[in-house]
Amino acid sequence: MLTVNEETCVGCGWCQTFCPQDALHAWGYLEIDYEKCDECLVCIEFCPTDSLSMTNS
Amino acid sequence: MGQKQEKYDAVVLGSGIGGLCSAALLANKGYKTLVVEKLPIIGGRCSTLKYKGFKIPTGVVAVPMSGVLRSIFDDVGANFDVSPITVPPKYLIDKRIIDEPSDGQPLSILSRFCSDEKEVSMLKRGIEKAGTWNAPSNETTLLDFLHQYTGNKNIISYFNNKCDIFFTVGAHEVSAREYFLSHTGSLKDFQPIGFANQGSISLMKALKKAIEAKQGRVLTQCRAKKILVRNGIAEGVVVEGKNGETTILATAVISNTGPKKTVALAGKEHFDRGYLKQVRNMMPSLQMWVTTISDRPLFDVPFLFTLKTRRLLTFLSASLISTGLAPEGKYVHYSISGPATQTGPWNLKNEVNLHIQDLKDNLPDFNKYGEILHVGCYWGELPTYSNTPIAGFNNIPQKTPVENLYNVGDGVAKEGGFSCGSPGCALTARIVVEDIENRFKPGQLF
Ligand SMILES: Cc1cc2nc3c(=O)[nH]c(=O)nc-3n(C[C@H](O)[C@H](O)[C@H](O)COP(=O)(O)OP(=O)(O)OC[C@H]3O[C@@H](n4cnc5c(N)ncnc54)[C@H](O)[C@@H]3O)c2cc1C
Ligand code: SF4
Ligand code: SF4
Repeated sequence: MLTVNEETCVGCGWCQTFCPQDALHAWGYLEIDYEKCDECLVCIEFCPTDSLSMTNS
Repeated sequence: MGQKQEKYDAVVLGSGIGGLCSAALLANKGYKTLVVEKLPIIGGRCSTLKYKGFKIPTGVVAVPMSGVLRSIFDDVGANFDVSPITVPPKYLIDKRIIDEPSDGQPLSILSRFCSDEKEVSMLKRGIEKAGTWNAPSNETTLLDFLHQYTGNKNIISYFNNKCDIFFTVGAHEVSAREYFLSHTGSLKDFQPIGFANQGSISLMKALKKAIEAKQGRVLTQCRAKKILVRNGIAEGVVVEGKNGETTILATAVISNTGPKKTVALAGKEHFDRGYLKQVRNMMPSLQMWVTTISDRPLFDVPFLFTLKTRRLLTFLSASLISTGLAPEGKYVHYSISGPATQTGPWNLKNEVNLHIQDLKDNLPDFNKYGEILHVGCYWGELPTYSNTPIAGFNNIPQKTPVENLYNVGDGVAKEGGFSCGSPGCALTARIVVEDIENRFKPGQLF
């Protein structure tokens, strides 16, 4: 499951522009639409603050 | 250890504008240079995101057309694909639009905000004195300075807006000294301003090309893990790329990751307490960027400065200058806001909503034809500026206490004169490369 570290995420929305599923939405904080996310990992690579990770469960 | 090892004259950590300007200058002078960038894209906060056919800046959008940044591009033969903005800006205040006077005198605008000519002329004299005789103390805010001459709310809102845009902090917090010194330094480069035709990433690609043309290398998805220091001297860096870890030995280590990360990468035991305190006291600033798209321009000039709003500072109709930023027949606009104070804490969702409320209240065509495409907040680990020039702030120099370890880019500055944005970062590159040239020749390590 894609997880965002709310302590370090700044809400820059870079990840939103790279997600092929349109599953991310930044509005001062990041919202993940788990219905749309297919766990492709792309957004993790592009996060400038290393705030995204994939966790089991 | 069995780890791979490579040797360079200089290794640059990060491909932001400070990093790539340094690397391009070094490679151009014959230094064997490597840039490592942790992300898959280059440019950091001078890059461009593509989203639904539109281009969104990660930072730099207003590019200075003259001065140090431009001179670096010319020196290294990098293509500077920027269109100048020749149309004067407009100001929106109390729902009125005010044009900039066409006499080329930057302070003439003050008479359009205040009808008391005597008051305006006193203020102009005060500003002139601060520029030609002695800048005020670093402990004085610009608002304190202005209040010596005027209490006019329109004039103060004009300076507030200017400070918030260029220094990311309002007149009530900015150091009056830095404000005035910058006018003879990095701010001067912003005359005139331009927009990169294909987004700011094209400038970074041009620098990368110039580096590679001189046998330099720029590696993406290659992260600096540790700066190697022995006996107080930087010796290189351990990087982790797609093929695992490599030790890069280099005569000069140039960090573009910001002073805080530089300390963390080298280990704080290598820095003295005073330096660590300076780095700890750095204050990153917050700005919010909203990208709006439409089928028609939402305003008639590229730069609209919005005064006396809750949060909104400026509305840039970027497509009016650079048609490459939006698909044919479409328009893209960037608006910027800042919080009421940079000392925080902020409720970001609330800050974004105030920004959008200001757009709705002040731009009739935004309501009718605009669609919000993207919202980006820049603060904390990815700030607008990493060392905001509030009154009493400390400039951090490029040289660190560790020999041969330099910082370039945002957050470090030339003594006296806050380094604003891209020209400030370019200046740090220029200074560091000159120092390296004075200290060692290419190939010294081999
Ligand atoms: C929203 C916004 C708007 C702005 N508008 C303007 C403007 O219009 N005009 C202007 O002139 N300036 C503007 N600025 C300021 C300008 O963007 C910055 O001053 C400038 O881009 C910072 O460049 P830098 O050299 O410090 O590098 P950065 O852009 O901070 O780049 C640092 C790079 O280092 C990389 N990195 C970090 N850690 C590592 C590691 N361990 N290993 C390898 N790589 C690493 C990062 O991924 C990044 O690519 C704006 C800034 C923001 C945020
Ligand atoms: S890219 Fe990273 S910091 Fe930016 S909004 Fe996404 S998770 Fe947050
Ligand atoms: S993991 Fe892939 S699909 Fe899921 S949010 Fe990230 S980029 Fe989108």
